[in-house]
Amino acid sequence: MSFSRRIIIPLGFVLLIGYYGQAQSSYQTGLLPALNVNTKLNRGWSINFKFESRQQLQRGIFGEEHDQDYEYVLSDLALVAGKKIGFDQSLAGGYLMRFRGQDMIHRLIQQFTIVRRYSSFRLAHRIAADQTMSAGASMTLRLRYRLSTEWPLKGQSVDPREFYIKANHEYLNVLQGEDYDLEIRFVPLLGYKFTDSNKTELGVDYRLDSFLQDHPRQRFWLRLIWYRVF
Amino acid sequence: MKYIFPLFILVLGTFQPLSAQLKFEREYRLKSREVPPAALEFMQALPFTKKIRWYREEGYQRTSIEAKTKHQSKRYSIEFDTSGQIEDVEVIIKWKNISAETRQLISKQLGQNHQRFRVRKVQIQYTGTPQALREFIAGTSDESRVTIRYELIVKAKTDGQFQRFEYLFSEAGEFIKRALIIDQNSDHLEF
Repeated sequence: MSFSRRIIIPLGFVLLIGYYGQAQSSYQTGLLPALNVNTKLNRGWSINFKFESRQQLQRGIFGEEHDQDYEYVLSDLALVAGKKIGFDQSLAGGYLMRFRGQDMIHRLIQQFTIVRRYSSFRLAHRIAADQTMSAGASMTLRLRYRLSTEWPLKGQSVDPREFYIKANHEYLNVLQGEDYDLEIRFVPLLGYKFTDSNKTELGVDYRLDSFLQDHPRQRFWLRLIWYRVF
Repeated sequence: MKYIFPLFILVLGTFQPLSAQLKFEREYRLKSREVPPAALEFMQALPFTKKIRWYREEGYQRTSIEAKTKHQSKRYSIEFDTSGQIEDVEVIIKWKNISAETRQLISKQLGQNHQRFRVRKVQIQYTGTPQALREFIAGTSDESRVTIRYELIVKAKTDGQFQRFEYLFSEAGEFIKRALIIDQNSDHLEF
């Protein structure tokens, strides 16, 4: 499948769902800066630390006046330990703390990833589960699958001081009590690799959920990530 | 301050044998006009009809120019030095295309070196004089005038670590050399 098809098919699918639900569709736009620090340890072990902050710029219903402007939403701190268990496979597990207003939310994370290298791109599959706990709410269980691809813009692999395209497409099954929801994400990013241990990515993190309940919510986050390896 | 330069040389000397066993390549796409004329002339004399992609590959100790193309359903990689002199011709083949006897010898060697291994890519490598290589690719001479070797990309588990190696074996399956491939980080694809 060509590069454009890989990007266009998922994007088209996501936008189609968004289009049909646009009449009652709510939206949220904002900023999603993140810092991702990874430390390699012996025997295939690694530790990943992530800080992410979410800031809303606008919120409202499509076709109507927006009803809310800038607002700080939340911050996440996550610590995940990973272990390479095969030639391409890794297992990881960790804990995330979410600070939202006065509330603190706890999340346990487990994930399995496969990263495959092809002649001119890399493809990663991630299957993850998480359990979110917060005071006064029943536990939220999520089972998610993400497909990520990295394409160099020059040559056959991404070398230092080169740009690349990365795209994530993810499906999240969300179960809270008896309520089930499906969230779909599509995240096209432009990356720049300063060195092998230092890179940054900028793009749009598009999220669509609640469309099964007929009142879709679409979220557009401007995502800026800095990856650092020690 | 006066000790810094000798110290640098000492450190460089210490790491040289190690770097000789490491494979790290950085490649850039080249336009035809940036390719050494001798390399262009060599390629133009061959019966390739498909598009030729040119790359400059910079490794730890050497830089080369590489032409990649497809011919009669085979993927060719033709390597030149920076002056445009041909170094070798590589063609991607399947593991099963190597004779059973040679495969057995190679597998035995890999088994001795690693706890587990998986052959991910096999290239048959032809070296020889420019004329012999040209005639061989054009199909006007057989394999008798070129030297055949096998270059393998192997994923292996060694001392509990999963790594990739580039191996070179003779046509008869004798070990020639190996290099540990320095893989890129994939944390941005995993997390």
